[in-house]
Amino acid sequence: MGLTIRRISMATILFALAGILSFRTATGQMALYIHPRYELLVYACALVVFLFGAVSLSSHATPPAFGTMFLLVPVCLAIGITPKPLGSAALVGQFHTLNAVAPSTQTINPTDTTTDRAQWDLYDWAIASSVDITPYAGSTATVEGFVVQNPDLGLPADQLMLARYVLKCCTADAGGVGMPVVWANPSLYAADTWLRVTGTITVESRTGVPRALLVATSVVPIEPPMRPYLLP
Amino acid sequence: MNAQLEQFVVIFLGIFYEAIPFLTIGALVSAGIHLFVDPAWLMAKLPRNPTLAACIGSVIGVLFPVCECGSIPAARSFIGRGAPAQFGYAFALAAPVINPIVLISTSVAFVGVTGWGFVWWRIGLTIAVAILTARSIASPPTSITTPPQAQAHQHNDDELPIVVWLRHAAIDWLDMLRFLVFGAAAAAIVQVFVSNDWLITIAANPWYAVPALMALAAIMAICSTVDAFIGLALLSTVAPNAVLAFLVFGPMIDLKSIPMFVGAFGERVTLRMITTTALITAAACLCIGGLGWV
Repeated sequence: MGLTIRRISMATILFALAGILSFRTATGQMALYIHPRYELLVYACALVVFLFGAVSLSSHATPPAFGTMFLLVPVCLAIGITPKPLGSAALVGQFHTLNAVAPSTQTINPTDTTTDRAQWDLYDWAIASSVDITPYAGSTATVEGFVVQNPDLGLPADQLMLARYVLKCCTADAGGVGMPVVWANPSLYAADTWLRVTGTITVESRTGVPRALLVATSVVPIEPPMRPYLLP
Repeated sequence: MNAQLEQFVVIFLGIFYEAIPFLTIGALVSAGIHLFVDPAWLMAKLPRNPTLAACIGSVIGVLFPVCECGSIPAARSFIGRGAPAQFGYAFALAAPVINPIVLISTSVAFVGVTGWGFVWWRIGLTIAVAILTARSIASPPTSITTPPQAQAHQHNDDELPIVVWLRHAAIDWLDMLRFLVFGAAAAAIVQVFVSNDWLITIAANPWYAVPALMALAAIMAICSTVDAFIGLALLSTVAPNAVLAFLVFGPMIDLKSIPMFVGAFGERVTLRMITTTALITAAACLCIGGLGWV
């Protein structure tokens, strides 16, 4: 009897995991955790996990208790906690490495007029800044991101930090990119509020190193995007 | 919910969702090897020269794609059936990295970020450490015992092969899963609660970064099929040569493999294996970092 209950319990947990993997991927929520390039792999994994559950029901073997118990941890977290993306709190303690994820080795030609800089996202601007932002002064930019409000940023009273995460594989390797925005009332927007900001790129050298500053002409609160991470 | 707890959950589930397909592939392949490949066929092909045997043992994982959970029992079986001990030692140490699953996951994780160089360093250094360690242990294992057949691996002759295969894979998968959950939780905790400033301070000191990451790898005991993604995350805050030490040493020696080594080869061989592997890996990674090769 005890063995049967353990087999049924393990199969139930495996079916639950297969369901979580499929549901999260089908609804797009998996993009809050991993790069979308792995979606097909996750679907295939869900199928195999479902089959694991099916064969374990007919097994005469004793299910490994430790493995089953450990599997409960991600299953319970996935079911019990509403999926959310990484927010501004995860950037605390990483402000000095903000934009470090942008490869300074990537070649950008400042005189190239074929690309529409108005379409550049924060990652594109981080790459441009990592080389030399000076040639881009005066460009018009429209960027989206979440607000970071933290005194450790050391921003003047008329600025807020607009940031996003760049994802290569999963949230464990997420790195932040961001740009200070000059706006009349930056404290109006709470941390993690998503904004679409249009303005003009200027160059400031307050810290001795030239960096991009977006002087906003328009700031519009928006809904958080379905895929909140930038995916280079 | 507390912001740090939220961050922990997002990072933990990110690692878990990312790693679970690779763990599943590894379990399927491992079960397939266990059921359908006869090691006796390979025994007839092995040289008796210890160095040559260690060389072959260090790369034969390409044909036996198993993690350390599978490589140690397999190595014991190889030695028990007459293979040179150095072949078994090198196989047990290198197979967790030198196998198709890990090579693919390492490539997926690193090529887009660092290029192929880091992948080749992991392969080359793993093979070198495995050969040198295996060759340095002249003595045969103090005890070779046949492992008891796990109840989980018993099956009826009238069952379909695919059912037997899935059942073996499910057992392997569940067995390895606890290490993945533990490792993902440990990595998420480190990312949430340990300041990047502190990690960068350690990484700035080449003498501390390498041994610190080797100790972390041993404590975390992450399955080698997924450790590349955790190494990738560490790469943003830790020196590359220390991450290389993490990815070379971790799959060879960790807290979960040490008892398995003792059970398979005895305490004396295990102690020699741990110390030699640690010293060679640390020395090599310090040199590689000092010379700026990664």
